Amino acid sequence: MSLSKLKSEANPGKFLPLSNAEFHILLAIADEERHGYAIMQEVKESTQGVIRLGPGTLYRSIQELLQKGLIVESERYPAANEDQRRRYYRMSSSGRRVLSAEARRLSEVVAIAKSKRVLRKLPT
Amino acid sequence: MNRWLIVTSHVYQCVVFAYPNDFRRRYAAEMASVFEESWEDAYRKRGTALAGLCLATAYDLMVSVFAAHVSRFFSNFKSDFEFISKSPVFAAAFGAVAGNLFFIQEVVFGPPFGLRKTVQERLVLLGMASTNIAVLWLASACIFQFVVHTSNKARLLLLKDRLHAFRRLAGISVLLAMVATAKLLITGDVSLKYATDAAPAIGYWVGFPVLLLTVLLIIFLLQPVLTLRSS
Repeated sequence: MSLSKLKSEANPGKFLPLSNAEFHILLAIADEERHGYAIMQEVKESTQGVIRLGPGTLYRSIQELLQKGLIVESERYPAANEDQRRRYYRMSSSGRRVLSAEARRLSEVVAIAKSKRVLRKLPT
Repeated sequence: MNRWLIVTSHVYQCVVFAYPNDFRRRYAAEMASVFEESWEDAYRKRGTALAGLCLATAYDLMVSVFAAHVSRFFSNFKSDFEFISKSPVFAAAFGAVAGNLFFIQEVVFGPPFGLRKTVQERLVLLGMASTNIAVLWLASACIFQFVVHTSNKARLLLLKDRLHAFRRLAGISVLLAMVATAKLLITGDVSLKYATDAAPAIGYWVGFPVLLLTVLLIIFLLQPVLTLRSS
């Protein structure tokens, strides 16, 4: 087991705050494993086009996340009719813990913004 | 496949060569695949989507190539220090490289950072630094060849990493020495006459590298005594 993975399992707070790209990539693969292009599309759709990852930023962030042990490369191979260069990525258990810690941290930030009346109450 | 897609994909694959080797080897194919899919998607949308994609990709390349190199430099530097700090002889070699950096900064910076020196003196300092770095580099290659023929595989692997780390550090001083030389050339201070006038006796050139190697050899021989062992 790598040192970074051990660290993330012991204390997910060590990896916080995540970069914008890292956070959205983790969110994109939270529900299912995806390949690079699918991650890009998911990030674009979930942020209504506010965050658009280019291939360079995407794979640099993927490399960082792999090194930290927050995601792993899936054993799944592309289907015969798909591009054979595709690789699928999924979240590791430590990745899920770190993502949850980051989401909690951001929700606390939102709570502070609300308490200071920076943010109006969202319509229910 | 669309002819323009083939052309732009080839261009993209050429530009990807700007990334560090290890990153490119691992991700270049996937990046090209993602770029091609984005291109096809933008092509279907028509309008300005393709131009937008090209601009966004160019910006993404510039930013991420720079970031990849900076991050690789710092992570290499960190691991180099970790390797070097484990062995006194390599720490000493690093000290020697740092000493050479002192020579080089004398040439790069005049007063108030460096001391006031004539062009001849600066050339001698630069020559000394380059000679020392070359000797250290050569010595590291000789040590490696010696170990290849005499040691076991585990020791060889350890030494290989440390020599690699040391050479990279020495590489930084070589780069700075080149900057210093370029500075002297651009400012027009250098001429062949100065270079020959400035050349001191042969003993001056040989003395310091010999002293340096002797000190390194002594530390190398005393390494078992000097290395602190954790309990």
